[in-house]
Amino acid sequence: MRLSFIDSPTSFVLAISDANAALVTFGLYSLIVLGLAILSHRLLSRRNFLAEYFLGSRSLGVWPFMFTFAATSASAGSFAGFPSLIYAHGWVLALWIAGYMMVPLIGMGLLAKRLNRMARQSGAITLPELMYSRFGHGSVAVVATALIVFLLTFYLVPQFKIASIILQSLMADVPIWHQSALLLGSVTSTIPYLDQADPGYLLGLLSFSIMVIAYTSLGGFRAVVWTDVLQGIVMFTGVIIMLVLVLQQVGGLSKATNTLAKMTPPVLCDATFSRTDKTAAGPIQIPSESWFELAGAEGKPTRLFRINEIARILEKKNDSKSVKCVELLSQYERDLFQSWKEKKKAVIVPDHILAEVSNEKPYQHGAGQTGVYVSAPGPNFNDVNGFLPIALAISFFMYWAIGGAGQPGSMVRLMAFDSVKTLKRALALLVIYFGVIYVSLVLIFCCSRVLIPGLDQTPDRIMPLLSMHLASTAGIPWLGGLLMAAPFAAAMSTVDSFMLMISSSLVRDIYQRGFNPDVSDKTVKRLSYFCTVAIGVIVMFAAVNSPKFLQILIVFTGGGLSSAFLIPIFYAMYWPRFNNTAAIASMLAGFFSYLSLYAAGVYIHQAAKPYLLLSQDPFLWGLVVSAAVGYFVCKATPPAPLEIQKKFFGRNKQAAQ
Amino acid sequence: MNEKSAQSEGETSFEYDPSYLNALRELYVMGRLWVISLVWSMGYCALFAYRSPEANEPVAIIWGVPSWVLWGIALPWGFCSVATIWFALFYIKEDDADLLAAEALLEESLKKSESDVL
Repeated sequence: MRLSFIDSPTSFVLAISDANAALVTFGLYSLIVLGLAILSHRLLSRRNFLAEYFLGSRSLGVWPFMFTFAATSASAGSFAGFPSLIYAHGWVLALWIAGYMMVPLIGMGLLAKRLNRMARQSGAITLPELMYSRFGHGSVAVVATALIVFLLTFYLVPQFKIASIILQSLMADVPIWHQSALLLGSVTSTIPYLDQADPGYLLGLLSFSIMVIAYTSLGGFRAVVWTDVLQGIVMFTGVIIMLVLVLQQVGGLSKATNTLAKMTPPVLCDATFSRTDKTAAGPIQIPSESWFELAGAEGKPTRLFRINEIARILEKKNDSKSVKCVELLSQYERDLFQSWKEKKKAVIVPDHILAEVSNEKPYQHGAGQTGVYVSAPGPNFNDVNGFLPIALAISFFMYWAIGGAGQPGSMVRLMAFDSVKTLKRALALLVIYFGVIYVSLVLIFCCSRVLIPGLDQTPDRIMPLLSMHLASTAGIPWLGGLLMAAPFAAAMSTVDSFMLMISSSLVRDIYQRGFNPDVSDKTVKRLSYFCTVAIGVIVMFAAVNSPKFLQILIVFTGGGLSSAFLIPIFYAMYWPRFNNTAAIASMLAGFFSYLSLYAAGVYIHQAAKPYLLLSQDPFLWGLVVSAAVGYFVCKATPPAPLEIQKKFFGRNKQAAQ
Repeated sequence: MNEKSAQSEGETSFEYDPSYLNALRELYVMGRLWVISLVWSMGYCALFAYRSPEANEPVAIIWGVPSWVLWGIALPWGFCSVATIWFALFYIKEDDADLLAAEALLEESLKKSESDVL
């Protein structure tokens, strides 16, 4: 069956040559990742298995330590969610992300020195094991392990899904990928559960899962660190290249910001298309991002629209289903459209297709106003108070730095560097790395609205679309693949670290310490490989039909981990008196107060969003409760045993002499 | 509380490790820097970044950046970056010589025992 396409030389859909270039780039990237895993696997056979597999023998130097810390912190959200927010709300995202100015100092500096020293003193490989040594009691480690396994497993599902979607959009127009998806679809269409998923998405999920499971289980921590270095370099290079291209193509930052200042938020709506010639019966496909115009009311100019989804009129049908669409209101957008139209660069819905618009909804904050994209609180479709009221901005400022410090995934990295000298240099480098990445992202995606207007119903697609737009305008198609590899790399580097954390918790903290302390090295090895693979496979299946609210799942689990772990670990590092009972109380109080605010939010709003007590994120309340409970319980109970205090806080007399 | 020992608190009776005391000093500096950045950035932006829907005056733009971003975010970000690099390179004490020496000794003895077995 042939589809009648509406053609345009610069449709944002990838040309075949561009798609093949993207495939080659991605193929090379995958080969390098697997090569690193094999190299790392060889190292494993020469060193102590557990310490090497789960902690890289505690020997990370400056660059690997900096890159693995940075790559683990930057999840897929940094390269998919964050750009889409900048696109949707403008310069106010600089305020939203401002807390990142303190992330290197607080995220790395707050716990690094003490955590690393205590881990080396006790020989601990995992975070629960370190807590066991610090408090001299197994119960705290059991609670920590349960929280880590429970929350991290939930965290992995959306990461798998986001990475698969990225891969799917990267490969969507590669012929071999398309054929493989069709073949996979014919197999899965008869299998219950799998039959509900889109075959293209399933293929993306399968490819991503095989790659990440293979290299993580094969190479362990060192493979993860080496790939983090590679991924960190990909992210850094990708962002720098994008910044140069975007500033060049937009005509400079001043021009872009001045244009943005004159733009007003669009009206969101739905569009349906129908044939004017009812005798024609062939299927018609209208590409996403096509433009169309409708006559305005009397005395008003023509109305300009852009669709954000593919519209299809099926064979023997006269109408398409309704698709997401935006009405563009700014003079700049009209001028841009006219210029693209004259140069035949715009995909325009032809006259023989009739468009009808319905369900028109203006922004609740910022509708019809200029300047909203360059000031706070930023335009918002859903809320009259705008995107970022000041109380929420303060909450985010604290969340980025403190929340990052409380992630167990980051804490494990802090246990793995080889000396304080390494920490000092890595901290200085991290300042530059994060500064360049996040400042550049804000600049790039503030300009993106000027280059590609009218994506407001599907802003999540701005990263891949901008990558391909920049690469194709610059005449370097392979660059599109490299630029899109950045968010994929970010998802991968988060997933691999968390898979290892869960695996280490199960093998070391539950099986070895709880059930079989005398287990042989061979069994530990087999169990570790098995657990890493099993976790990957379970999460992969969960991601086939994962829940809709992915972003809230990521935020919920990230905040939950910080609420539970940051304060007890902080007290454990800096307060000799802090004991086992207070640690458990602090951990549980932090987590359950956080959970309660989410439950209250669901009950009050009847939607999956938290209750913001005094406009502050639940994570901050979790920290406050955790700190207060930890403090009072510690004061009300006997201090930690003297020998433990001496071990971790006392002067080493021999060393002093 | 005595800075060098825990006796005055009546909880313990030992001398604190210098690395722990160094870490505490470093913690205070980190805390102060964090408060400075929070007050500067959020304070400036609360006063100058927010614009009422009725405001008609255009947002000032300097070097292609809204002025509130330049003074309220870019400048404190630059200050924090310089302060963090200074803190990392010149303030943090390299006080893990005892651990490094102990680890080197352990590694040496392991190698020796391995060669003895062989």
